[in-house]
Amino acid sequence: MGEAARSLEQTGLRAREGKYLTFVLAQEEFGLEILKVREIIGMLEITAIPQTPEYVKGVINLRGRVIPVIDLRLKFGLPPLEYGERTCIIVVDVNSGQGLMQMGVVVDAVSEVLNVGAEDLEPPPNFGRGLNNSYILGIAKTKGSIKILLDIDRVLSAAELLGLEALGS
Amino acid sequence: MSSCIDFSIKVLVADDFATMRKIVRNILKQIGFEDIVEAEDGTTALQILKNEKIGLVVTDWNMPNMSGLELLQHIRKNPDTAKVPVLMVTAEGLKENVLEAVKAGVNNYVVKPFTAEVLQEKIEAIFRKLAAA
Amino acid sequence: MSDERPQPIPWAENLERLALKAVMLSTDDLPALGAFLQELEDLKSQLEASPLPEADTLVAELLTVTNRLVLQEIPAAVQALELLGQGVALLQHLAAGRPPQEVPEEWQTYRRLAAELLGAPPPETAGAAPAQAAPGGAVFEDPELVANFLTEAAEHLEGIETRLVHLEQHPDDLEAVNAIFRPFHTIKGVAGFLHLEQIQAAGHELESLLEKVRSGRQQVTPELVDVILFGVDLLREMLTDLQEALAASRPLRTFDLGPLEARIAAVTDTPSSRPRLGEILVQDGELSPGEVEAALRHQQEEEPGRPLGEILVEQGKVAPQKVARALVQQLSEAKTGEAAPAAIKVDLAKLDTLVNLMGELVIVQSQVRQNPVVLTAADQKLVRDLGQMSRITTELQKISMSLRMVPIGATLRRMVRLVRDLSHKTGKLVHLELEGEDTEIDRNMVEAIYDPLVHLVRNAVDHGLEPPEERQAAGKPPEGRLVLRAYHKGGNVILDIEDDGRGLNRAAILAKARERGLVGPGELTPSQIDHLIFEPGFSTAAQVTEVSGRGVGMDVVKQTVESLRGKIDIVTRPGAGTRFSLRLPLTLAIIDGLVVRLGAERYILPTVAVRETLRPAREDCFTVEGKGELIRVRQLLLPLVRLHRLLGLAGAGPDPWDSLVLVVEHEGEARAFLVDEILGKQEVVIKSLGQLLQNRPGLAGGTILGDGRVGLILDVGGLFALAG
Repeated sequence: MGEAARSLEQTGLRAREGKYLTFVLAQEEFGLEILKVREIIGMLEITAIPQTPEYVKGVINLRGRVIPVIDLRLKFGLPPLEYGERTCIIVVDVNSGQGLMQMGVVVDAVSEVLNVGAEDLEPPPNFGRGLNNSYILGIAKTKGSIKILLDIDRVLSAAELLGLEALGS
Repeated sequence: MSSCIDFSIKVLVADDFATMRKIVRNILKQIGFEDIVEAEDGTTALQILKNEKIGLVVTDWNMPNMSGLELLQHIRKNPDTAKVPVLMVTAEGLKENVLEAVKAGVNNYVVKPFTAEVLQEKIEAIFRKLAAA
Repeated sequence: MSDERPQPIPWAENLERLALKAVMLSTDDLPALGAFLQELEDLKSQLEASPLPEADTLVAELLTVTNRLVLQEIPAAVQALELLGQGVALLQHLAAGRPPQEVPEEWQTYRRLAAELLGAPPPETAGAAPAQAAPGGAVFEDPELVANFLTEAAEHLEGIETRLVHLEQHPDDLEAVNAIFRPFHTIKGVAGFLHLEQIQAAGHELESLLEKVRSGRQQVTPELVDVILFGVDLLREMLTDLQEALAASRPLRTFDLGPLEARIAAVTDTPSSRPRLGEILVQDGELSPGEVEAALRHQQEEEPGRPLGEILVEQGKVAPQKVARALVQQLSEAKTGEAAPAAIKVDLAKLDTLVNLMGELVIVQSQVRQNPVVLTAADQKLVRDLGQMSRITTELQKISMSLRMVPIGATLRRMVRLVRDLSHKTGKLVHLELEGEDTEIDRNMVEAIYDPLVHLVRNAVDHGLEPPEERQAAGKPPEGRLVLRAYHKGGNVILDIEDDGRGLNRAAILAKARERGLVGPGELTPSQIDHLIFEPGFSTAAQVTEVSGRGVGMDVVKQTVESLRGKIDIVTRPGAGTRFSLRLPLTLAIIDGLVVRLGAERYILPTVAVRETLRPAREDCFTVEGKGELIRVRQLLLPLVRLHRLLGLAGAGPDPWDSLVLVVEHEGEARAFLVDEILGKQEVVIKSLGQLLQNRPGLAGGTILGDGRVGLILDVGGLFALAG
């Protein structure tokens, strides 16, 4: 453990200590930096946008503002789940590289706010599959469970958007 | 001459401009009044009128939210305060204001800037009339 | 005679009360006069409902006398009371059905009194002042009071400036006028007590000007706002002087009120430029200018308040009829002068309603044209007339939309003052140039761009332009140049804010951005670096200056511009200057839209692009090799655009003859858009879809529909391009 903590320090990952909002996607626990989270809302009616990837669910009316909503399950290549009572939209501030924008991400359920110390952190392992390694800030091991801490800026990054552009046109 | 004024009454000065309140207060003191309260707008003035026994109201015409005229109308409408004498402070050149105030039952008016003598005269006129009535 | 008496007189009771109050009147009893006045006014309104000859004039005269009595404009107060009593008695005679000829003596007495009291009009302004003037003693020259006044007055002046901005946008907001009037009024009042004659005089000038606005004699114009701002500046200077004088125990500086008076005269002059009686008589050749001057001098020195015409007649200079004719001419000229303006003010709400109704008219006319009876009509004239009507309707709609357009000049000119203030505060010399003031922009847009514009101008002066010494050292003229340029380009309004300052410091920006963790270590293009200043919380100013450090950043500017469906761009050259370009849509953020259903979603098509809606007959639908599907609309064959397919929605949509087709125009071309159904027509507010989705081809944005869901607004130009 001590060695792991030292390696974290060496790679400058101590900066990833802090509070995370955790949520569930297909039985797995994920975390988002709490500073990125604007609010958590229940499901709203989503207006689909034509010619966008499946995981772009569309746009919602957030108190008069139109913001896009991304389904994280679909984004990560997980099987779709019908939206239910526990389904939430987490509204996040995403730094796209061209400025801050608000987006909503659909998750199965929101769990808790977790304080993650450097001693709980481990560098991202290699997943393969749909979950791109670069999306991950690290792995938090607390209370006997594993949480995957997401770099939401990257999940919804400029490169991804460019991908969107390509798909669209 | 000054016999008809009872200097022990409490005078309420309503004006949104603090400096103006201070000036009127100074003049009232110079005339001989001692018990003076201030209100920065009509609403506060009404509150004070409700809670304290006021013997004379000196109000500015121009106040935000509730003008001096509206304050006067409120005072006259409420049976508890209907008889409280009201002196309106106004400016030259605003004749319509004076006429409005007189119709609404103001006891007298005084034009800015005024001296202690003028104000005293006006207040005396008010109390002389009240004593005669 | 007696059976013709108008009985019962509806105001008999009122008259009785009036008579009772007349008895109680005394000159120094204001409440009694007030009650009498109230009764008189009641009587007046009753008389308006059931007029009685003679009584109307009588009541009007009594009102005048009472008013003057209240205002202490009648020196002979006892006579006035007599007149009031007499007048009420005459009213009672009239009410009892006795005309003047039955009680001639009483009328005579009244007329004599009235002639004495009402003959000469009251002196205009002198009225109340002399009795109250000359406040005595140094009682109020209390430094503490003056200090209080300084603080309070400064606060009020600041409040005035903010409110003026609002007032210029809402010239009819009487409460805003009041809110500006009030502080001037108070400043003047307090200054009077404190013997600050010059402040009092300046306050008085501005107060009188605003009083004209309050009473509707003066309109709120940009020029008026400028004058008031000029006055605010003058007062500020006076206050600063007062503060310094107080601290140094020196006498007050003398200020020249001439420029203020002249500017006030210049704005107020236009509507009330009534030709003077003397001028008319001179023009008519009745008098020489010297004679008029002599009579005016006589009036001023000997008989102030007496009409000039009377003096001239008495002096035998001119015949009474000539004076009368000149007076009539004077009045009529004044009237025509008032009727002159080439523009009128219209309530914005009315304008919006007009635009809405025009939209509905367009729909209805297209419905009429689709009516089977009309469609099968063989009458060529009817078809032609309908075509003509359609063109006129479209034209009308365009014009009604254009009514909401205003020149951007007023907004740009408001920066003049800002720049001057900034120049004072920063010690930088700025030459401001305005270009394209006539460029028109939607009125709603004008308000929305004000804040971003202010920020960019502040920024240019504060960060862009260098101090004179630095400029000279760099071989530039000491005076910096700031250009605000507006022009139309490709259906947009472009607004440039261009300075010839030091340009953006990319190294500093990048360093700051790295420090704040806004960017990673990778390479960035110069343009990317420039755009970093739009990042939230970004500020390159070494210290937060008084000027720009107001907590609103460039990110807010960018957000605001984008929320207007606009774009902001930067071009900068180190050492040579920076240009910010705002690209704003010409039309407002509100459009008239047709809400249509495509599959499960609702889309909005701008009504202005829709020429007509129709349900084609099966035989009017063709498929042509190489051209795809075509629809015949009267003589024309239009390409059919299946929106479902174009937008990649599930299913190909219905067949045209089972559904609806919208004939949509764009840049002179027409296409037939196939939709499932038309759900209605409504005005929608265009919202950006956000960075992620804002450039979707065929989509112009989103809007919040009545049920709270987002509807997508179609971009006709984009759809045409997609359809090829």
